[in-house]
Amino acid sequence: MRPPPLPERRKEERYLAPGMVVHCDGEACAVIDVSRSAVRFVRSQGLMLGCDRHDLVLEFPRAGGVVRYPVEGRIIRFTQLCVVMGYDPPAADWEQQIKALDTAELTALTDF
Amino acid sequence: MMDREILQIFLRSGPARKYDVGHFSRRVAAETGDSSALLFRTHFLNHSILFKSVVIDKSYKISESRPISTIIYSPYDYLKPGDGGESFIFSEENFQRFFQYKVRSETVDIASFSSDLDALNVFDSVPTFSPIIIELAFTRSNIRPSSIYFDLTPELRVKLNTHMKARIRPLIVAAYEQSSCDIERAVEEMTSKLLYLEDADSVMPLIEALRLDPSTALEVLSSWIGITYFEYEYAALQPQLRALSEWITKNAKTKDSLRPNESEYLATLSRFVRGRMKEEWARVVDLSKTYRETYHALVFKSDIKRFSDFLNSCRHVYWDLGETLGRFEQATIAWRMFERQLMGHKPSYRVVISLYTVLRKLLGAPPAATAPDPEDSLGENRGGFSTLTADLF
Repeated sequence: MRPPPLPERRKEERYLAPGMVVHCDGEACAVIDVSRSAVRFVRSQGLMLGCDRHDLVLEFPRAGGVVRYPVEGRIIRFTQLCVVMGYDPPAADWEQQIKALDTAELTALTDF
Repeated sequence: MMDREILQIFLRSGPARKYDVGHFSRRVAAETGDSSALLFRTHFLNHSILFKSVVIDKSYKISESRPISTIIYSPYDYLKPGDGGESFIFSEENFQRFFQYKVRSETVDIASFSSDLDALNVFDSVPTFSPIIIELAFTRSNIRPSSIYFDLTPELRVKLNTHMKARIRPLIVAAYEQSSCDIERAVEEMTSKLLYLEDADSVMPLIEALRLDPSTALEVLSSWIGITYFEYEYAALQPQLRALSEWITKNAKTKDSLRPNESEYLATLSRFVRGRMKEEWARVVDLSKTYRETYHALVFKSDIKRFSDFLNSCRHVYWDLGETLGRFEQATIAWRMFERQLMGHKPSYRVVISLYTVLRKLLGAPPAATAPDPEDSLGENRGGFSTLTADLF
């Protein structure tokens, strides 16, 4: 039985960030979507999810090189395919940073 | 006889509309020194240029399911394509006739017909020659030409693949989480398989999860992936189109003092061009909005029905967006050339009118060729430039 998702995460804007990777206890996992305080990522086969808290490193490419933010991840839910973990935003402008990576944001079309 | 003016416009097209096989063949020959690495086995095809064009049938209608055809243009002088040549609208029948006709004038290995036809069918199966679209189409058809033919830098290839995988990955998870089928396959493996669609069986669980008709599912999914790529292309084109629209509004002044009727004509033309641009762009924005909303409905709200409904209509959207992209791309190329020639000076009335006339024809109606008449004798009318509707540019 899956635990219900936290209502806070559901209210947050979720972004699709190409190239963003999360390292969970050192294991690199592709990010599915990311919000201000949670990340959903592909569950790799070697990932051990026995405890509630895990070391996460949120990593994404930027013009000047790769940026890495270490945070503490707390399991919100997981399935056979993916894991959702909550974390405290690692920077004051965190949401702006992930929004700037968002596929939908980068390719938004607007009327003239 | 070939309409050279129309040919020049086609030769100045961007990558959405023009694929210069000759250019890539020369690069392959220079960089590999291996003639077997050429895409085609038939000599004239390795020096041809392919164009995308709307084709009007004998009842003056454009096919709704596939509004764009592929024109194969074989220049008389491979190094001077603007000096004229022979052309035909691609179909297996037309290719066979043209092939037989060329056999008379050059040595052609008849065994090469089949493999060359396969490659031409790949080019014809997509609405634009955008490099990543072509590369995906060849990969899906299990034809592996030299990467030189795709004209993608490794950095751009990685960037585009990353963009598309970021869109596909949540789709895989959303579809499979609602599915009762076996989901042992890793998400990353499935994401790659869906992008390249090399193996129908491997994506069958996804086809089932998305409730697609298996007989058309691969075409539907490749169309959706094509739209995902066009999202990127349109976003890249957006600033140039916006600049063109602003230029029309603010800067399109001539150095000549105009008579009232000339002023009125100029104003009418500029209004028409800008109006058409806005109208066509609004249509693209609307299609993009539907694409995004249905995607978000599945990925974030688990609404599979809306997404499936869009998938079932997306073949048409894919071809429509491809055709419109070609027109917008050509309009911005025409404007950039116009600006370059002016070198900061104000244009004459005549020059501004000629630009607006090109833009009006590009945006007012799609550039079109008429379909070949089967009764035409070989070598006279194969439905290429010789029968292009003359006034469309």
